[in-house]
Amino acid sequence: MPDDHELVAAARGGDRASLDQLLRRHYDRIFAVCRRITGNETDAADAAQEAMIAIVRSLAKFDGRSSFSTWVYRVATNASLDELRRRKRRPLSTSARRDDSTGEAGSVENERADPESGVRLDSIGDRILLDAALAALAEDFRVPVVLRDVGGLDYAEIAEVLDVPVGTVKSRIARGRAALARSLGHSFGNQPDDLERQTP
Amino acid sequence: MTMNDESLTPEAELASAALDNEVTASERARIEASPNLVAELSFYAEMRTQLADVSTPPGALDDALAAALAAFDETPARDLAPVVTLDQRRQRQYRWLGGAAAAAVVLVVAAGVVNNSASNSDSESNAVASSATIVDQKIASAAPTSAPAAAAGGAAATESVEDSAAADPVAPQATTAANGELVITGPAEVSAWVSAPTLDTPEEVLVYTEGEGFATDSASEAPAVATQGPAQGPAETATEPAPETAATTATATATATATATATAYGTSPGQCPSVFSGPSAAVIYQGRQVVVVRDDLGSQVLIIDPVGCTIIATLPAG
Repeated sequence: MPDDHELVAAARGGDRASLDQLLRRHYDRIFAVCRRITGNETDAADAAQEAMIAIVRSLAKFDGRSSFSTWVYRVATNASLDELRRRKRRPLSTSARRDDSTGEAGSVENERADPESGVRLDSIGDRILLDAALAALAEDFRVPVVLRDVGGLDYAEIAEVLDVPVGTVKSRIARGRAALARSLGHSFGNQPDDLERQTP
Repeated sequence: MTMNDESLTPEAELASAALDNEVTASERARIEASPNLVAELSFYAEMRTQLADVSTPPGALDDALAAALAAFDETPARDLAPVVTLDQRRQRQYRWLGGAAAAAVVLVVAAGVVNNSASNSDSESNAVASSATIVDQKIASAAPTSAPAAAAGGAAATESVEDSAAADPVAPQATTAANGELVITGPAEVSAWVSAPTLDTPEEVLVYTEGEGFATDSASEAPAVATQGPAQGPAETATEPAPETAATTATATATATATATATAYGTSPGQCPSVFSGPSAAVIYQGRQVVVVRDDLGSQVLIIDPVGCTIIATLPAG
């Protein structure tokens, strides 16, 4: 089975089948990243399609210095953010209310079906809550969390995609996760007092 | 609650780093020792699992793929080729220039090595070839003077060199160079006595010189110019080398170049008495390299030191 770089080279040479294989190989992850960044399937499908087209049109610009996956996620991230900007110009349809002053989903925590359910996030309701919490998270924190937990990129690759220092990536991911956990009603070990105590 | 530095506890940061395997062993141990940190890590891991669990809606792939391939079909081939920036182009040029420079250096060095080697080889082959030429000249000049023994002796001596080269690892090696010249390499001193018989007593010398094959043997074994006979000497044994032959042979000896010729014996008519006439042969006598001459006119056998043309012993021939 040819690797990504071989398929890229073949596609650059006009091999349509190689391009088809290359795009099929990465589509699911592209869609997943778009899904988590945009927050809904419709926007994600549009963003993923735009990403696929952008990949084709930018194939000549892929210099091979990074992995093809990293480059693809960069394209997908940009397509998702573009989609979000377009969406902002449309009437909001999301049910998640956003506390613009904090960048966090203010009401998601209260919408949890069972705040005492603890660690597990396996119910449909929890998934909806996760979607809402993620969508309510500020972009600067949501995108690195998605690239790490959905795209599987390491800190250095995320730093490359976002063009920020690795330390910033690490910090933003930690804060994003902590914010998500709080939005889902999960405080430190289900012991909110602990969190409060350890907060300076 | 705001999204700022105050909202992130060290424990939350530690749990996040642990999820990404970005902690030290001691930090990992600290997490494992804290139930709260273990719970935090577990929750983060569960969030990751749920975040990554995204199903692709039916048809989404086909739609996206069709759009992408349509864009591919519309894209000119030249736009698919890798973009080469100006910097990259310059780097390639520099790389090419660097490669060319390196290749030039290699060629220059190689040429120097070849020239040096060729020069050495030329000088060596010239030195040896001149010696070989001397031998050839000597043989050639001796032959017309109807000195079959000398001529044949020279040839025999040359052959003995080749034979000894095969038998003796320290013996000189005679090869033919590309230009046809004979090239002899190896020890400078080549003796005509390499294949000479070893005789220890006068009786053995006499028996040897009286043997039926002595004359023939001598023709093949004696040094090239074994004897300098007077004009009255037998034509078949006395050679009358041309002056230049003597000179070249002397030169050959002086340069100590490997040759298959006779030694000083007989090469200087003024040194070697003319009485040394008759069939001769190189012999190892009592461990010394000598020339044995059967002086038929004087009915004697002379054992001669070839270096000084001195008579070591005179044996009455039967």
